[in-house]
Amino acid sequence: MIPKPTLQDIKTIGYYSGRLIVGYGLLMIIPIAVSFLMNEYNEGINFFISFLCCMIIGYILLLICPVPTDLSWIEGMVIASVSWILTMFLGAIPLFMSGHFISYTDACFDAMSGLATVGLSLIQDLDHISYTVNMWRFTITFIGGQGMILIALTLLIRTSGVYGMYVGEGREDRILPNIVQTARIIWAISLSYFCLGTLVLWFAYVNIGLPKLEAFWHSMWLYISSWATCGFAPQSMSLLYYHSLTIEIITAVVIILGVMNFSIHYALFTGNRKEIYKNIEIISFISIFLIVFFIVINGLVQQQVYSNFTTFFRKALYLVISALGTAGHSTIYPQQFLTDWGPLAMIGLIIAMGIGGNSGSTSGAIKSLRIGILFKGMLQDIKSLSLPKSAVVKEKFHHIKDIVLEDKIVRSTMFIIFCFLFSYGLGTFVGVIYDYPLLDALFDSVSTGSGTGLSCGIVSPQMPFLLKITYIFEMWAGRLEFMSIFALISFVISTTQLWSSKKRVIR
Amino acid sequence: MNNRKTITKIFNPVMGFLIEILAIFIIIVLCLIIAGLVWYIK
Repeated sequence: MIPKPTLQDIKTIGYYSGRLIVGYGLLMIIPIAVSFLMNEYNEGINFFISFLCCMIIGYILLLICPVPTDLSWIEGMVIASVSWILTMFLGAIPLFMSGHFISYTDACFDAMSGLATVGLSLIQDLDHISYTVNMWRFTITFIGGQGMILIALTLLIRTSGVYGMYVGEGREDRILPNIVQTARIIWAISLSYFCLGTLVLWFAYVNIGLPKLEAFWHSMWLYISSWATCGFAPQSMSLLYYHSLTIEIITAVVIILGVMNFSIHYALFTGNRKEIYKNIEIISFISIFLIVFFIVINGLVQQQVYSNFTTFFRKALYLVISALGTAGHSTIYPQQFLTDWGPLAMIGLIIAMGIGGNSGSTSGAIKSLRIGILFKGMLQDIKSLSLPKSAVVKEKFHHIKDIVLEDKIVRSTMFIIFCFLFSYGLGTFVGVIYDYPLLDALFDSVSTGSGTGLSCGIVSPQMPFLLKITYIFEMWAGRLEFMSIFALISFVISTTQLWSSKKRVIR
Repeated sequence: MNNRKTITKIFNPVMGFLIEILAIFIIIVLCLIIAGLVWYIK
């Protein structure tokens, strides 16, 4: 339980949430500009209304809570979790006003899906939505991938104690001692790859015959979606729409670059080349990748789905990269997972989605670093069992620097893994309650909780309301990696207790 | 001296990027070998 919160703590949380909402509203200028550029004025008006909503709510919070103090760890965590919910509601307004969603809940589902870089969508008639709405979908994807708090730390917030907010968003690594400098490094790496990736994809699109302007939009959106490891695509058939090997190769490379820890990018870019084969996260990621790939190809060979080797290899490799990278781009129809791929290949993908990419990247899920630490912890226990009782066994692992494996690291790792498993189980349980087969429910639940976005057909506008809410919760909790959710819950409980005790004193 | 620093500043990220691409290429080749073996055996 946290120390009793004061009114000043609540005001501080309100102040920084207000600033984040104002910043989020300013981002709506991007789709407004696109609406003018592409003559989609009606959509522009929708976004202008949403922009005003953000400004009004943001400035009301700033007016009510005018004097912030320095942030404490717990306040930072609470701000992270609250701001993600608020931005989901506000980001869903223009989506709902576009008329492509049956209900506001569906629009909220898509907004959270974009922010949490999941990529599942309940949108109607995706192939005919406006450039403006598409731009917003991919803008929130980029914000979610980079981290909303990270953007705020770079542009809006200058105060001490911001590390709590940074950690609250599911990041832990400090590339440089200063968090604001770390945020800038992450931006520098992302923007360099953004320019390079968009350009390469643009050439590929022009090569397959898309008009140059159309190719620009598609390349930018698909790049954002791949880098942020979100499964959104401008077309309902995802990558299958293009039937292009070149685009599959480029997006696969971008996904792998996206799932690499920003610290590893930075280490390699500053000349520390040994990091690529010494880092526990890379070793763990490659090992998991090869194991999962082996399971999937065995499943496919068992089912005898593909008659030629090239198609078999291309489909299997792309979907394993997409699942392990928690990207969710697909080169098959959702129903094909059930009809063609079969249970073994699906289990392989479930494992891949459940584990995910590297920590400190745009990827979601448990993360390969935690699996590496867990494995090292098990190794340490086995070693100490085989040695005399007096022997002290200390394992080390390398992640940017050599770290001694302490019990508290293993314990916190196991706690997060347990939380993820609970989240996957919760979605599966609700799915099974609504009569979906266990494997299908597990597949879509893991895909949602891990932020992947592959679906075998459960996720649709027709799915039950409770399942939509459960999936939204899974996306939110999975992206924030649970700690800030616990911080929010304990903050709310402490505040309620404080108020009820005050009432008792007054009586 | 300044020229050297500038060259290092450009050289390191380019080499870093090439190493990342090489690592991805090695993984794909490994996958190709595994897939080939499984396809051939079964």
